[in-house]
Amino acid sequence: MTSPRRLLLLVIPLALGLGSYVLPGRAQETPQGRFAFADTTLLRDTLGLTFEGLFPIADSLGMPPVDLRALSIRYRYTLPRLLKLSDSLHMVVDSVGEYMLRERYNPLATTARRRGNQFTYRSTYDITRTDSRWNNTTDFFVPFGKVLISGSSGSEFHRAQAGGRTSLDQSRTLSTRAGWTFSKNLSATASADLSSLNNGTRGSLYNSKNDDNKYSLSGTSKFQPRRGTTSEFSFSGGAENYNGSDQQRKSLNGGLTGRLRNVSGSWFTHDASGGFSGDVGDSRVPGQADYLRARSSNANLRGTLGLFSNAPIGLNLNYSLRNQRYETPTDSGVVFPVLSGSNGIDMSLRFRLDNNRYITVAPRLASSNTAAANSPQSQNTRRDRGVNVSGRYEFLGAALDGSFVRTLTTTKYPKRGGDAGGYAEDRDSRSVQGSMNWQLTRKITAKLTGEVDLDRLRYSILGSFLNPPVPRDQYGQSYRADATYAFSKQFDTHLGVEVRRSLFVNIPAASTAANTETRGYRAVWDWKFALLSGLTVNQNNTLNANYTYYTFLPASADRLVLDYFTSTRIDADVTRSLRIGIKNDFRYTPTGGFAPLDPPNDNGNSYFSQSDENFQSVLSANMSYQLGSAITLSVTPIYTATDRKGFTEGIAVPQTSTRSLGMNGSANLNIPIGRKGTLTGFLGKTFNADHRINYNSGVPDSQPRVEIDFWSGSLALSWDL
Amino acid sequence: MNRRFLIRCGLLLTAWLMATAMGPCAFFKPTQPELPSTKPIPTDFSTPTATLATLALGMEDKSGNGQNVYLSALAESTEANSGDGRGFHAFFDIRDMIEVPPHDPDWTRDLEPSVYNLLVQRYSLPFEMTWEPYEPAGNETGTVDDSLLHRKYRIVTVSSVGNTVTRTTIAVGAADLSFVKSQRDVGKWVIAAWQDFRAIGSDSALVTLGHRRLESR
Repeated sequence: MTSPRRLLLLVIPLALGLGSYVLPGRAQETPQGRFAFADTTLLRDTLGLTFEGLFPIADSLGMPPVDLRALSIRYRYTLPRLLKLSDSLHMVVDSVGEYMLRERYNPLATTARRRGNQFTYRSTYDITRTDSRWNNTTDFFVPFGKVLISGSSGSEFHRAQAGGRTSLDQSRTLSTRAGWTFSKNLSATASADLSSLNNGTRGSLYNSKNDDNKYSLSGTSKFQPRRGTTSEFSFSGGAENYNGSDQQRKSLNGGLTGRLRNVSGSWFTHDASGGFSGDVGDSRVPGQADYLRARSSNANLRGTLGLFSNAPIGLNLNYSLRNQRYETPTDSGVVFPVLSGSNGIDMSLRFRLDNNRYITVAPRLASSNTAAANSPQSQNTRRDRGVNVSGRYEFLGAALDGSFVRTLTTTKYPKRGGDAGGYAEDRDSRSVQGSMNWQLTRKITAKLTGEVDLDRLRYSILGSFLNPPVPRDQYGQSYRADATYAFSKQFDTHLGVEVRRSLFVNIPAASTAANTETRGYRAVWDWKFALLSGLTVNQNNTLNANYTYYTFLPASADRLVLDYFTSTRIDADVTRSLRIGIKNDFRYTPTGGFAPLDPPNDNGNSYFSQSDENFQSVLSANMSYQLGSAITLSVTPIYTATDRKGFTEGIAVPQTSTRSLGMNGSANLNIPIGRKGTLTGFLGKTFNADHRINYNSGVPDSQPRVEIDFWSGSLALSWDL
Repeated sequence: MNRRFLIRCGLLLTAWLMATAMGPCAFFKPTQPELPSTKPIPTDFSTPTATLATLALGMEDKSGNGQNVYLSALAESTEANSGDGRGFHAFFDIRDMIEVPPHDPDWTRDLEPSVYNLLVQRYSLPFEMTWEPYEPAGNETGTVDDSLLHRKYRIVTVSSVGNTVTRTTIAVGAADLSFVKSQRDVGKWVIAAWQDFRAIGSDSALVTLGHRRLESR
């Protein structure tokens, strides 16, 4: 036990007031173990949601924590609720929110009828310096026996000033749907979506107007042929009438979708879903006599097959097929089809002792074809073949993670050069990554990470294309060591060092002048200290050095870019109502050549010959004062200073200097009106002032100061009946 | 506990050795590029026109010693006692200075490698650089020790498939070029000032070397 304690003293040379007694504070607790290096700012409460267990859950789902957190915020579900819904609905976490929103209008969803009558009115008025927007929406939901009537209507008026003219855009929408439940497994829905858009500027030739009306009828049936098998089939058909300044179109559309789930014991699951849709329409440019007929179709199938998902050896297989044909009528009276499609299959075979000891082998095949941007009737094609092997092994308190990825991609651009042809790209990507996470003591966690990757790009000509890209290799390797020291809930710190090397290798001799080798060194030190209850200080310091060597150019071409960055943030809850946050960022970036001295002074060493430097300093604050629960006043000043200097024959010459001050003051409202009404919004004023000085041969040329101030606001009244 | 600690240290050391000492295996080794031509560039600075031709050769030989040859056509004043007697300065078309701020108001020879590097890094195809007289700028003048030439320059990339050659312009413009005789090398003409202009006619819409100079900063 004594050795790690000694190591502690070596690794973290910090004595910043650790001996002093600190009161309990609001600092975010650092996760321990394998997640000690995670971004703890993600754990801050938002909209009343907490993110307890975010990192382990995201890790087990194989998705970035930031994405999982975003899903939780977007759909207002806690993480356990998201997981539970995902499990019960048999779908991936990112589909849960959308599915639940859709189910609100599903007549077969029994919960929908339980909610009773609902009517919500919302009116919002937004104003900024150059435009204003007034928006009114109404949502209604009326269950009536076996009939559900729901819908929404809205209108928006948007005035904007530009070029001395005021434009007024008006839009109106009405969406109504009625659903009948014939039995617990059969329902039908009729819907009408009407919208009108009118964009106008007084005196303009380009005003436009369009009306778009859609009507549809759909039916859904659920069917359970036997235990363990469930299915759902839907059909839909409808008509659309679009009458606009740009086009007039009448069309009919129809579609069929199905979903099938098969479960057998705990060893077999199969989910498959697919659909086909098509439409046929006649369209013409206003004023033309004849209509042009165009047809479109879309077919897709996707599924997931799981075998022995919870066993030590399990298999998961995903497949998908999609084909789309879209016909576009042109102004010249020709209809041409645009084709696209994709298909793919990927499989993961997992050998698992437990969640911390496993290896997964995942091969993948995919292909796709898309319309070329410069020639929509021709298609670019892409074919991927790859394998990903990843694993984790945890023992003696250390977790080893590793992965190996190899992907071969062939992409063909047959019309990149028009009729002259194009080129094909063969890309061979290889990467290997490993990390060791080691909790040295209860307070210290260390992590070593290494990564090597190589991209090989080769090109062949299709037709007689003249300018294919240069065949090249891109190589990168990096090693990183990190350590965190969590002294207490009030204080923790992190130190990291990274070394990177990358090679850019053009193969042909004529292009090798651009070949480079870049060596990068990066050191990071950050710490967090809750000085008092409600007073927290965070600081982040970064040192970065990038040496770029041109392999086949004289040493005078070599470059060095240095970057020093420090950011300090203080958050204080002065009283229960008053909160103040102050942040100061400072960045200094000198750049220049890195070469030996000219003869006869050359001693074999390279020296930094500075050519320019940039300073940037940003001081910002955020002060908010809460008046009861209804009104919050806030002030946000920000001051930015930048200076750029060039060096001529070793002498620093100022080039530009800018100073800017921004100030925003606002009052935020959240006032309940009666039992069912709410008035929310803000009213604020923004002020910005910028001053710039250009230097000509060191002589300042002060530019006129630019000042701008304007009011902005947003008020929203919502009312539930 | 000590044994566990030693095992952990062993793991750490092994990981460190694997990461640093062994280096990348052949599977991750980049391809060896073709070696650039090492044929020396014939240099001739005996007249202002010859200096321009040599500068063009330096621009074209971007994978060899081209940059040094290119730079040696520009006057150097920083070397004590052995300089050319004058320093090189480039000046810009006002439209380029408006388009690419912030700019280095005093463009010297020290900054010239940045534009050379910008071109060779951005355009991987072979280069051609040509000079031609530019009459709209007026008469050319000169004495025994200095000379003023008005020239139009053009830098193109060259791609060829079979017998078909395509040239794409990457910089074109006009220049008032002031030459001086070097104090260090007797008989060597070097460029002391390069006033860049956009060429008139259809080339005025294309990018000048001055514009590239500003871009490279």
